[in-house]
Amino acid sequence: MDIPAVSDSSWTESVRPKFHGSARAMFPVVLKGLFLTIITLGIYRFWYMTNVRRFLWNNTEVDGDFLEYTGRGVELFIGFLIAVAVLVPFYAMLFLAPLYMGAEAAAVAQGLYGFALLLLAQYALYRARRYRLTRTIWRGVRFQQSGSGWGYAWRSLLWLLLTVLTLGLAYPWMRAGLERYKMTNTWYGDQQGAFSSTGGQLFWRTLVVWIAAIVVIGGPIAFVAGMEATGNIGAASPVHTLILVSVIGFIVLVPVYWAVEFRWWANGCSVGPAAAACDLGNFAFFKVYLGYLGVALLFGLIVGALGFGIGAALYSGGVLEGMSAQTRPPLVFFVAFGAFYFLVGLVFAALWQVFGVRPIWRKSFESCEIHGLGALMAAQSTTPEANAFGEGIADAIDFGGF
Amino acid sequence: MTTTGTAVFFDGLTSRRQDVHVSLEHDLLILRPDGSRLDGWPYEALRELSAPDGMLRLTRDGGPPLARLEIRDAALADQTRRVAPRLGARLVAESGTTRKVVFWSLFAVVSLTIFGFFGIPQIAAAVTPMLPWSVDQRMGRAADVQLRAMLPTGPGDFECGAGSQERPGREALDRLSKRLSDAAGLPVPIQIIAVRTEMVNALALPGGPIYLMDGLLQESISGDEVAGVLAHEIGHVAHRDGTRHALAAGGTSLVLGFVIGDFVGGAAAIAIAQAASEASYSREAERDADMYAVGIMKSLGADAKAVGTLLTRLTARDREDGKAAEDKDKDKGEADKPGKTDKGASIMDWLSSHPQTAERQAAIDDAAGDGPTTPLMDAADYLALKRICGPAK
Repeated sequence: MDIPAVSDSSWTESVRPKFHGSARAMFPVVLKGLFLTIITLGIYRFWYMTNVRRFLWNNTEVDGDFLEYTGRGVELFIGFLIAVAVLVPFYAMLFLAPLYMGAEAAAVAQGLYGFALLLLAQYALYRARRYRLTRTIWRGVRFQQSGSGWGYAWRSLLWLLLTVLTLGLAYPWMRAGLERYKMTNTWYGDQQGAFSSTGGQLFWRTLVVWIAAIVVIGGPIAFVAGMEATGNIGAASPVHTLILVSVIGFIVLVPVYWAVEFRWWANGCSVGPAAAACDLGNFAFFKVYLGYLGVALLFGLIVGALGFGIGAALYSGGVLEGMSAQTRPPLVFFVAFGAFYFLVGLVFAALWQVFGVRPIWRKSFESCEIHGLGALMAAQSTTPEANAFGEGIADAIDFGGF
Repeated sequence: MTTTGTAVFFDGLTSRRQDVHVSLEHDLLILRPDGSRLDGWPYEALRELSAPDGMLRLTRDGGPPLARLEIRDAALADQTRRVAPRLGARLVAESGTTRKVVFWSLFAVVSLTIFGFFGIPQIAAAVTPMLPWSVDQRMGRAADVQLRAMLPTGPGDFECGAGSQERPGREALDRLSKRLSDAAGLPVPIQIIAVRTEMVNALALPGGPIYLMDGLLQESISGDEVAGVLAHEIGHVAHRDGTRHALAAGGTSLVLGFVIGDFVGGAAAIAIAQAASEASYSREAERDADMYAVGIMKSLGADAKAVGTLLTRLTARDREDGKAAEDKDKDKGEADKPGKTDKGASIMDWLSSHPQTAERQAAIDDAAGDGPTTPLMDAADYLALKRICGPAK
């Protein structure tokens, strides 16, 4: 038996994944996908999503070898059809049930329905994760997820109840508990995943962010309330400044929180002998949002200038004066305006994929070092691939990742 | 011509990475570094998979599904592309799939639209008779609350007949509605509400409530005409047209919302679907309500021809208006908006939901037959009814 010619360094050193997908390469994929999605009234979205995932997976390199996404649009489409088949009678029942019942019974039914939907959402999230994992290939070996969707749904619901009862204090432990369930049920071939981060760690690491949030958001509100109580509300400008501080603080703190939580999460993840160590900066995600905001603003300015230019040209050409004589502008005008509006919306959505989703993906991977990858040798899992039922449900009740 | 080069091989059974040599001979040969043969893939079985730029990622059709050969040597990749005949088989099929998908999606949208606008009303028609009448009543009460908030009314209560001057009108209307509802004998009580608005219209809500608008009352010339319109609306209640309509609208928006997903703004599409299905009842429903009204009027010994005369007269007057009416016609879509209560527009409302008046009058006259009739209301009652929303202006 030959000794495989593996690059020697990976046996001892840590490996940092790399993402090679450039904005320029992603833009055509996204623009074409969004365009087709719109003209097919949304049906193309399954193929569009698949193409975006292919781009993200294919360009992610771990230790010299690229990930591969083997999912297909038609699988998502079928998952969607199954979800429709299951959910339509459910919704129909929901629609008809209150008609048969009295007001109180209807209210109870509504509550039960909300509960069922919440449970179904968690179930779908877990099943969708299974679909994505079983379509993820690295070095010719598939990822896999064991565990049950309903088991996860019940766990998450009980945790949620506990979190509500403790006024959010149990939230870090909920995250840890659920991630532990997900990761210990994650497999790379025959190698089992594990999750070592704890709720206590998350609590202490995010405490500063929570306190900052309370100060930045709660402080000005308390101040304004105090001013109102003492009747000093007359000075309007400081109130506006305070509200602005609140809003800006919120915008900064949310991505900072996600970054801290991501670092905590990634540091706890391992598969077999390989474990991740993450050094994502606190402001890494914030910078992504800022970058997207900048690009979007720039595009907005260009569109504005273009619109102004066209308007000015029409005005100086005397077209508008001719138009005001008539009662209605010609139909062409409306069609052109509609098409313009449509295109601008399309480009904004595409910009988010290219300058929001892509850099978040890149930073998530490139901020992690993987130790012990050289010792990771997996045999192919024999468990069959999962279907896209979960993805379909997630799509039908309007949530779900990418 | 390059026929050999290096590549990376994964056998699809373990995650072991093998640096191999590739030799393009009668098959694509995969060789170990020492030159011994590891595997041989026939050219027809080679399939290209999605890969990052600069890499040719191959698998063997029929082999382990996750076996991979990754060629990063551009010259070797080019040569492999040249000799493998069906490399792009799946890709061609996929681009074909894209076209197929676009085609079938459009087809699906068309057929769902047809299902939404024709199939769902059919289903609603089949389901409605199975529902208990309490369903209609609950719907009617909900619609009543909404309409009271939406309809533009004159000064005073929404419902006429409460004030001291209006009480005789209310009593006259009660007497009329008792006679009508006794004749109809529906399992739900009929409740006629005189609405303080200049709109020339009458409408039935599911399960009993009927709005009789003051505008229509003022256009009438006899008690039998008013009774005829009310009998027609009772017909809609008896046939449960409103309930069926609401069910169909709910079903349509449900189906469309599902298919479209949230990307293109499902809510907007749902609103459009609802607006479209809230247009008038079908012609059959109107004709059936007419015939029902004729039946009631005849059973009460009243002039059944009066069921259609008010409508016919309004149409005729509208024709005389000529050009003015045409302009109004353009505004038809806006006539429902609050504040738009001038009579022309309101008449158009009524007419637009009641087409083919001449035909209908002929059918009504046919069914009514000739014979002696006695008015349902005496002159004093009719006069009082006309003043139910206050003295004539």
